[in-house]
Amino acid sequence: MSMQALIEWLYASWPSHLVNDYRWSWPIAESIHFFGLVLLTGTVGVFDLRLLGVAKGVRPADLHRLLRFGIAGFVLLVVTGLLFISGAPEQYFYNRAFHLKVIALTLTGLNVALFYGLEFRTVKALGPGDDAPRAAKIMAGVSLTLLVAVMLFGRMLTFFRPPY
Amino acid sequence: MSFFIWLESTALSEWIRSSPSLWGFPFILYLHTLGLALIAGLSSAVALFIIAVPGPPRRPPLGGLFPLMWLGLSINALSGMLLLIAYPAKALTNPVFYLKLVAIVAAVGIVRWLERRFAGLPAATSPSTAAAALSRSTLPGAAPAAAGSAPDLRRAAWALLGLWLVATTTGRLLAYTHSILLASFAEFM
Repeated sequence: MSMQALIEWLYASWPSHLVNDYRWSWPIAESIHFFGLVLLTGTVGVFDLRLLGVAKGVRPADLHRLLRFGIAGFVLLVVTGLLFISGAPEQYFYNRAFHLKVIALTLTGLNVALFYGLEFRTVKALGPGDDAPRAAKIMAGVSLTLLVAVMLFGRMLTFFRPPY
Repeated sequence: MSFFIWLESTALSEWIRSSPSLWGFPFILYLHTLGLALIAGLSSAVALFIIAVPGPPRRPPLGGLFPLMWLGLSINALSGMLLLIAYPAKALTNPVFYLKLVAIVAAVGIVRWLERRFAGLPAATSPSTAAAALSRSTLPGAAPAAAGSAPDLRRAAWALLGLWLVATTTGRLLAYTHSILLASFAEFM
């Protein structure tokens, strides 16, 4: 499927009509996107900060329980994000900030996979006051950096839009 | 209206509005999102901790997170002020903006209350010491800072989540609900 065909297919889809045909659907989806951001960055951020030594009195396993709310936030972000893309695909596909955001999200996914593959068992067993292993700290630092980068590129989307 | 027109004509307001630099309006908007993640994100995580992590009473040693929340609030007060200087009439003539401010003030009040609660009582290192601390706090004549118990915290946590939902929603809707973009432009209408 060529890029043009993909764009036309997306424009013809029902999510595209949902966000384009009703005056308030795009603003409401944006509001949900921001609340998803609050849930995701808050829960992931607190977990990463604990691994880096902030609020060390809490067991990482207790903070890890919050990640289900982070996942709920992520679902909100993905669903509304896909709505935006279907609503104006060429505004994203030809947008440098969007490309960078997708790269940062992919790196985040790899970092998450590495963390669960290599460090999660050790981290889960840590007690209050325990230091996280160095590798887990590095992954937490990478996670926070990518979180900040994804927000930066997301916020920059508006300013790198191709002309209509 | 004349105040808005004057403010819009200042060099700072004009620069934020019309500078082609990414360090102008785009970067200020980004800072506002970063601050949101710190104050609303981290405090929401603390609220979810109170609600969802078992083990009464919930007084987790999360005090270290609060300075970061206050950093986020400061970033947003500053970036919000700059956005207001760029488009004063846009926000200040919109009732939704005042709703957003009320939600933020109430949410920040709850965050401050949580910080004091966490700091005012001994950190719960085990359920037994936590239970002892709770029974002390419910005795007649206990210090006001130590009054209340877990249900208080849960109510505060739910209220905080609701207030952040209102603040982010109204904040986002400011882009769609204003009746005046620029006072200096509205004068010509």
